[in-house]
Amino acid sequence: MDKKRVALRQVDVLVKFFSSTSLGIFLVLMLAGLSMVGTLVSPVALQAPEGFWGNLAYALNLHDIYHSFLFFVVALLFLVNLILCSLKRLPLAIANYRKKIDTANMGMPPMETVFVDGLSTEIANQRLAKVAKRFERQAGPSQQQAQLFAFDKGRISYLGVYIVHLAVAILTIGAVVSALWGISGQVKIAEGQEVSEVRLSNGTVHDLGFFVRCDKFTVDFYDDQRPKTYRSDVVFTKGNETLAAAIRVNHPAIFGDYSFYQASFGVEEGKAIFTIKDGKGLKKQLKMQEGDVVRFDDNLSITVVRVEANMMNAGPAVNMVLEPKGKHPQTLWLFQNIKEIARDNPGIIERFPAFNPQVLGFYSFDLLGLEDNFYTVLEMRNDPAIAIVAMGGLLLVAGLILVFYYSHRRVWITIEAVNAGISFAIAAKSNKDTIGMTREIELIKDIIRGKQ
Amino acid sequence: MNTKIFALVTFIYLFSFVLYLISVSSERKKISSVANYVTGLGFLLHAVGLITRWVESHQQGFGYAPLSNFYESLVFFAFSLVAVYFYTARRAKSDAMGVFILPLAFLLMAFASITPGMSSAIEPLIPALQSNWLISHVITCFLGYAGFTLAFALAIIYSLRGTKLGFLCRGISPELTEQLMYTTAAFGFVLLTIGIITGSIWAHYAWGSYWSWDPKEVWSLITWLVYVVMLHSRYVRGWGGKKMAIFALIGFVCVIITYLGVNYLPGLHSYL
Repeated sequence: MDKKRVALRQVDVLVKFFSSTSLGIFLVLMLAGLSMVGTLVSPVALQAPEGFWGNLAYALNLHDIYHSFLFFVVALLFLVNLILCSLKRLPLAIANYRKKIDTANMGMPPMETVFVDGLSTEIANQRLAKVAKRFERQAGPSQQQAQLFAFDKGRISYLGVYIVHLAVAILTIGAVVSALWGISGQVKIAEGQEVSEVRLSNGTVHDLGFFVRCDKFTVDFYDDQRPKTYRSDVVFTKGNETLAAAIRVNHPAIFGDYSFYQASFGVEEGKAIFTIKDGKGLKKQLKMQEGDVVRFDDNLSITVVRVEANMMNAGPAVNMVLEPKGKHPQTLWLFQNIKEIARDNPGIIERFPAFNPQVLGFYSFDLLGLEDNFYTVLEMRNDPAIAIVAMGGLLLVAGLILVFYYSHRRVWITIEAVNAGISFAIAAKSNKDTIGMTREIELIKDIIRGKQ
Repeated sequence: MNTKIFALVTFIYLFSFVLYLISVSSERKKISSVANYVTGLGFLLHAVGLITRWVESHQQGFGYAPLSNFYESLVFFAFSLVAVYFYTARRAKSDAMGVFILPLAFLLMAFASITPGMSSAIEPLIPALQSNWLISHVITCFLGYAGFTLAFALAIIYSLRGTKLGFLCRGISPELTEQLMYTTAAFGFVLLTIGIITGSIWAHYAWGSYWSWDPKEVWSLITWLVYVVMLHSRYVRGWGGKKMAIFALIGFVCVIITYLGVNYLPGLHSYL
C-alpha cells in the first residue's frame, strides 16, 4: 500500500516536472541553441575530425545536428512537455469557454457613465439591441435585474493556445513522418533518355514503377545573359497510361505519389550529325547519339557506339558499327577532320581501314559536327506527410489569430431613468487586449449616444 | 524615377525624426503632431515610389513586384516599419516610438541608396524567384520583422526609463510600454509564422521540400523560438516586463542575423 502511494507520488512529481512551463522554456531555448550550433559548425570541417573537440563534435553528430540523436531527444522531450502542459490547463479553458454568461457584473464599479437627455426607454432599448449585435451572446434584463444587460463575445480565444499547441505537435509529428517515410533523390536524364529508377539521397536505388523520358531540355536567357527559364519536357509512362508535362522551376510535375522538380541541368557529349551517300546518289543526313540504331536502307544498319568531342586530339569523331546485309559487320571511326588527318599522316587510311569514310565502298560517310546534348536533373520526392504538415500550418495560423486577435470581452450595462433622460452605467472586462477593450467601449458609447 | 522618390523619402524620414526628437525633449504636443503629418507624407511618397518601381519594371518588359533583391528588401523593410509604427501609434494613441522608429527607417533607406555595390537597378527575375509565393512570403516576413523592430524599440524605451536618456520615454507609461512590447512582438510572431509557412509552401514547389535546414530557414526558426519564449514570459512566475524586454532585444538580434547575417553562410537563399 505504502509502496503504491510512493510510486504514485513519484509519478506525480514526474508529471509535475514534465508539465512545467519552465521546462518548456528551457527546452525551447535548447532547440534554438542546437539549431544555432548547426548553422555555425562547418559540415566540411567535421568530416575529418581532429583533436578532442573535433572528435566530441563528431560523436555528437554536430555535422548534421538536425538529424542527430541529441536533437531528436530534445524535440521529443519538448513534445511530451507541450502535450502535458496543455492537458493540464485544457479543462480550465474548456470550463471558461462553456461558462454561462455572467449576469452579475462581479461587483465591478462602472468604468463609464453616459447620460442621454430626452431619451425614451424604447429608443434606449433599440440602441442596446444595436450594441447586442456586436456581441455573440446576451443575457438580461431579467425579473430580478430589470435594468441590467450583459453582453459577451470571444470565448473561443480561451481555446486558441491549445489549438496552437496541437498544431505544433502535428507539425512535429509531420516532420518525423517526412523524415522516416519520405523519400527523395535526384535523377539525371539526358534528352531522349528514359529512366525508371532513382538513386535516393540515402544511396539506395528506388524503382519508380513507371518510366520518365526527357524529350527536351531548354534554357532561355534574358538579354543580359541571366537565366530566364529552365524547362524539361518529360513524358511519364506506366503501362497504357502516359502523361506529358513541362517541368520548370516553381512548377513541378506530379505523377502518382511522386513529384518531380527542376533541380539542375548540364551538357554532355551529344549527338553526331553526319551524312551518308550511296553509290546511286541517295543522300541522307542523320542525327544520332550513343546507343542509337538506324536502318539507312534495306541493306545497311548503323549503330552509334561512341561520340567523342575530341578523339586523340584530332577533333570530333564517331565510332559506329555498320552492318551491311549478308556481310560481316564493319567498324568505322568517322572523323570530322579526316582530310587534314590523312594529309598530315600519309598512308594512315591504308593502315587503318576503319578510318576510311568509304570503308564499305558503296557508301560514303561525312561527319558534319556534333550537337550538344542537354541533360536535366530532376529532384524526385514522395512525402506522405505533406497533408499532415499542411494541416498543422493551417491550424497554427488559425490558433495564433485566436490567441492574439480574439479576446473574451464582457460588458455589463445598467440603465436608469434620471430626470427626462436615461443614464447608462457601463462596466467591462476582458481577458486580454485592454486597448481593444477601450476601443470597444468607445464604440458602445457612440451607439448609445446615437452616433453610430 | 523611383530611386529619386526614395531619396526624397529618406530625407523626409530624417526630418520627421528631428521633429520627434524636438517634440520629446521640449514636450510640445504640437510639434509631435507636425511630425506625424511629415511622417505620413513620407509614407505616402514611399508607397508612390514602390508603385512607380512596379510600373517601371513592367515598362522594361519583365514586370515584377519590387520585393526581389537586397535593395528592394531594404526599401520595403523601411516601408513596413513605418506602416506598423503608424498603426500601433494610432491604436495606442501614443507616438513615443516615433523617435526610435524614424531614425531606423531613415537608416534603412540611406543604407539602401549609399552602400557601395548595392544595385538599385530593376533587373529581371531568375527562374527560382518567378513565383507568386514570392510576394506573400516577402510581405509577411518583412511585416513580421517590422513588428519585432517595434518591440525592440519598446524594449529600449523600457530599459531607458530612469536613466539619463529617460526623457525619451516621457510620452508613454511603463504599463503601456510593456503592453505594446507584447502586442507588437505578437504581431511580428504571427506574421513571421505566416512568412515561414508561405516560404515552406514556396520551397515545396521550387525545391521539392518544405524544409531543407537551409541556414536562413534555421535562423528564422531560432527567431521564432526566441519569441515563443518571450510571449510565454508572462506565464512564468517571477518573470516580468524586464525579462520580456531582454527577450525582445535577443529576438531582434536574431531577426538581424536571419535577415543579413545568413547571407554570409552558404545556403539556398543566396538571393535573400
